[in-house]
Amino acid sequence: MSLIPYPRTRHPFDLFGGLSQIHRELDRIFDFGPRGATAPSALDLLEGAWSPAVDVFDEKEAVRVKAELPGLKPAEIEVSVQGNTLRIQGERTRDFDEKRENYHRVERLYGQFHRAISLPSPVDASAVKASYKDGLLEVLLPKKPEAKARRIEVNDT
Amino acid sequence: MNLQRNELPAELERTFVVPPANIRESKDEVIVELEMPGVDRSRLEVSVDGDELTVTGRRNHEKTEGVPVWREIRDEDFRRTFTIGDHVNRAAISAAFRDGVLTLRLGKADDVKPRRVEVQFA
Repeated sequence: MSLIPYPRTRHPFDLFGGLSQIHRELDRIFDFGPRGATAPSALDLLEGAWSPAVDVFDEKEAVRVKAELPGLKPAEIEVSVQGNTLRIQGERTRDFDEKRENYHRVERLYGQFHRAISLPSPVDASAVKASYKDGLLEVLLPKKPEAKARRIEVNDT
Repeated sequence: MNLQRNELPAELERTFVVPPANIRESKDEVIVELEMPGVDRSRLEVSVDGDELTVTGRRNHEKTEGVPVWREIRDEDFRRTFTIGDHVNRAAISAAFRDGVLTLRLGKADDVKPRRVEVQFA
């Protein structure tokens, strides 16, 4: 019987999970190297996961979100708004088989992606517009009238 | 060589994002795919200098109003250099840009293409 519980959150044979966690922590602390999906690190490739890079801008009338999603068709991207959260998800399928015959190098990441973004202000979900051009997704989320900055007159009493 | 940092040419001081690439080979071509989302098509450059093939993609920096609350997309332009050998026919390089992916097709020189040799029966 052990007195001190041994935390085992990972699979015991997951050799790279811990390493990549340290790697990510170092990246985050020192702000080194690649961020987002622009240049995957070797460890990201081992994990085979990708997470598109996202920008969020708080404009006067709307919230503008950009995401880097190269090599997709607009129909393969799913954008949804629920409450204060914008979700961008989909899947990039590889156009070659698993054997990768005749491939010298595969650095692009494939598979499912999913990003949930907390919006800085309430938006009108029925008026959200999304467009895709040259690998860049842009979502424009108009703010709810009550969220827009309003000038309040100061009365002289 | 003792170069001070401020003596470096401006081009060398700039940093670039290295776009991820897939490289595959067919019978007649080497095909390179590079992810360069948000690049301005009109300022996409592919150049060959000796053994070096360089791809530069400049981002379309639109003026954005508002406050950036979260930023992951990098500002730097894309650049990547590949070394190509004599087996690439310099005159047969083509490039196409679609959905943020640049596809380069490098034609192989005739002497490295697989060739069918007729067997003569005496």
